[in-house]
Amino acid sequence: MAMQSRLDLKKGLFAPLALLLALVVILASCGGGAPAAPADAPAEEAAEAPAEDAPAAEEAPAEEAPAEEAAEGEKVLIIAVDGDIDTFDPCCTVGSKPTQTVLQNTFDQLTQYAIVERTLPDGTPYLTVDTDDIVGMMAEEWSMDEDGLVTFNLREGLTWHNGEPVTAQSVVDGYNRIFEVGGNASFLLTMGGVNDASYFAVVDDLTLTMAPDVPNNLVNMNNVMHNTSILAPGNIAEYATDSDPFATEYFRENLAVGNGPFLLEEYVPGDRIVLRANEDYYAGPPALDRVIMKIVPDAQQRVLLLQSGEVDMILIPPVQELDRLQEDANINVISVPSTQNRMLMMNVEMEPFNNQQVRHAIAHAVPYDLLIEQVWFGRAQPLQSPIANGTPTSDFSFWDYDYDLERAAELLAEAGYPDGEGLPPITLSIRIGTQEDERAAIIIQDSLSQIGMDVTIEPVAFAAFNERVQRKEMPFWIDEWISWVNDPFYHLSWLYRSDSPSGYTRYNNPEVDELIATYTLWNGDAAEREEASRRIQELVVEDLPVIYLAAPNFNMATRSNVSGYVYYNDELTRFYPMDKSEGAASR
Amino acid sequence: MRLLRYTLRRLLLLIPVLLAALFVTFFLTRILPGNPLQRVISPYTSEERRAEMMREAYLDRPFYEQFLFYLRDLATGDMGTSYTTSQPVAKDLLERFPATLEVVFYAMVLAIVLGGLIGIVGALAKDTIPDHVGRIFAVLGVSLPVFWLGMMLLFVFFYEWRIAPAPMGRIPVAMSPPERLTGFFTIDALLTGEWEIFVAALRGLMLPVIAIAFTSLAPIARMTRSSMIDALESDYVRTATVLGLPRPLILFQHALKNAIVPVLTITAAVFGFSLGGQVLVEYVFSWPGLGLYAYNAILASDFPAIQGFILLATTVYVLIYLVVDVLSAMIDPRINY
Repeated sequence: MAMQSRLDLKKGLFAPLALLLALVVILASCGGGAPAAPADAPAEEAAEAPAEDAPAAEEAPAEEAPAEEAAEGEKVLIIAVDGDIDTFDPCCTVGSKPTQTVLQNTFDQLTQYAIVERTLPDGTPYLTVDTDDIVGMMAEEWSMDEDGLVTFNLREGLTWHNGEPVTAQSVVDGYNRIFEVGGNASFLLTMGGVNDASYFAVVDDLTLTMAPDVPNNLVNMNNVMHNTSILAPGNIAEYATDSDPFATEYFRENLAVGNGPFLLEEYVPGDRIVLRANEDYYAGPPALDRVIMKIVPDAQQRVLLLQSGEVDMILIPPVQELDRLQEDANINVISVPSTQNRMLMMNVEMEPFNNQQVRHAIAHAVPYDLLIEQVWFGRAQPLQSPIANGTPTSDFSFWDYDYDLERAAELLAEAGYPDGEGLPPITLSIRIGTQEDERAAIIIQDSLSQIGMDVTIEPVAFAAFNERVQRKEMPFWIDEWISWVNDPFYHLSWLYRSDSPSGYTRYNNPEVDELIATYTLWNGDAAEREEASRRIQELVVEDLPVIYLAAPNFNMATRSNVSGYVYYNDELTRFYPMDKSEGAASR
Repeated sequence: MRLLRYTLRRLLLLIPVLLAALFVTFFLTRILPGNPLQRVISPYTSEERRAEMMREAYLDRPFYEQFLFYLRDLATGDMGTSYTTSQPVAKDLLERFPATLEVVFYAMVLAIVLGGLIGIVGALAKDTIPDHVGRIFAVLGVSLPVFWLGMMLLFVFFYEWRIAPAPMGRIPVAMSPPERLTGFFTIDALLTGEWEIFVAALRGLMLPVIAIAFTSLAPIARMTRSSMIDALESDYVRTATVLGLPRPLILFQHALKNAIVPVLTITAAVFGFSLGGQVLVEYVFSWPGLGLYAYNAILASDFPAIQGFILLATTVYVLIYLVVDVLSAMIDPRINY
């Protein structure tokens, strides 16, 4: 009864499809289409033009030059990062790597670690730092006398990016802000026995001293990080208010005037962070003219963008992709053994983990080799002590928890839970979206079920996760820790001192506490301190609040024309030593 | 005049709706585990400083007091400061909203055009092959996850064929955004005469818009088809046909005009739906929009940011429905308010 009409519109069926296709084609051709669309590829522009060794001379002082006016032949490094800025104040950074990277590259500290060449286990040379060798940065020279008094001789003619001269007094004023604001930096310095700005003294215009309570080297190691970046007094005064004399509000939202090899040129929240070379840097202008940190939230896209040449560098690529990336001639993979501890953490005050035998049983039930093989695809080192290989005094000899399910079952029975009978429900918590921890949790769950321990895996959003961990209320979870200072006592005091804010397992051993308290700042015989570190390792491995899964490598990948990457143990990229050559930029 | 009064009344209604939405969000975020300060507290932070921060953020107060404080600040235009970005929430929203809206806007236009076409063809050629193909097309759209579709589009059009730009946001990183007038890059670029940026922005929009449009055109197509069929079978169309009116006139003047009101209503619903899909699209295309912002805020229990987002999303939603209702009344005089 309906009037069906089969009119000419029949053909129109393909209209939507045709339209779609047309749209794609039109838009594609608009941009110049071809793979080498110049608008898209500053990387290639840079590569095609002759490399300039000293761009400083010709460069106009391009104060506010927008990125799009990038001159021909400019070297632009594009790096895909996973997150955004969370704060700009160096005193109080928390978790954001892009924030820390921006600070590390826009600020110099008084001192820094010396860069050295080392070789990877497979014989490949790579650049890293010697954490035993602290050299000058803003200070041309520094020295420590027998009483622990540290003297810094500043370089002549240093300025902040706004032209404000760096003097001994302005450095002390900068440290004053660090202590008054009370963020991480003041904590780190206090740890080294320097409690406020009065520990610093101006000797003359270019000389200042720092006098820790106890002579020690830890304070010097704690003083090379981005947290101890010094703000220019004039810059602070500009934004200070009566209620906020150190302008914390302002500097949380805005980057302070720096003094490092790069300046922040453009920040588009949620999108990109652009750094520009400081042509007046004391050690000469950086080889790279610009660094663009582009936020790409999806790890898979970061890998694909690197492969297609859209970006020059990515950090922490998914570990399962590394073998494939390594086969690509255009890509350089760097996989460096690190001192990171990946750990199975147990709250020693919560059932059943308050029972040492249960902890030992679990340790025997973890298939360590399988984890390294299937979670990290071989890109991890064994870890059998709280002190990783690579940190002084690391000693694996106390560990005797081989993967042995029979022994594990025995211990579990001795603990009063034969075949897991009588165990309370056990939940293993991991952070949502941490692929490696997810894989590790599944393997551990499977293995524990074989000794009768039924484990539920619970992925938790990080805010909730961190809150429970920091309240020390998490019972059983996978966590990671890397100490930015490569000192055994620095590391131990974070995780195993009973009054440490990050003693998340509630581990409490008075002997360990005492050893840490005595030897962290130690002015005596170095061998005695090393012995103490070994004793702590022995005690911790026996008490076993933490089961060490592995020390995963630090991984990063660049296009093969990118050179000069230096691995620092804070895992932040320094762009100053890096360079990018022509060639190999083809997609 | 009546329409104007109606519009005003509906706008007033926005206030209680917003209050209710805020209250629910406020309540929900606070019963969720996690504390926003986790984001700004490091292990180094002292106990006293923690307590001070809790006090400053009113987090030590009972729930209802926190709510009243929030409303008080809101009345002065202060939406609080995000814990994830350290920026004022109002600034964050303003910065990111146009990025999201631009995608959704173009996607809706495309979805309406395509969905409408498929629906009309389906109605005119009911139960024939074109109708079936159209239906399959629409069903595909509704059943393909937008995340997957986004990835596939990228894979084909960028990684394989290289005709689409890299999934690196709204414009290539070598370009700076155009001067901000509306926040729509395409419009701003046109207004400031930045032809290159305009093309780049359009190219950047291409795949995200297709992904969103394709996944939201199904309801539109289906509604157009069924209401068009109803209209074609109605007495007035038969009368018009018998009277010998030209076919196009019948189709567009009589049938379509009558069929379009329910389509408008469903479009409003689809709009809200596509805002949700936008989160995933922004993730895949590294799009600096609101969806990603809200997603990160939720993971971080960033209360001020979540509330700000809900406030904005609710307002947009209510406004869209208002526009649709007003449009419907203008098209169909029988609708009475």
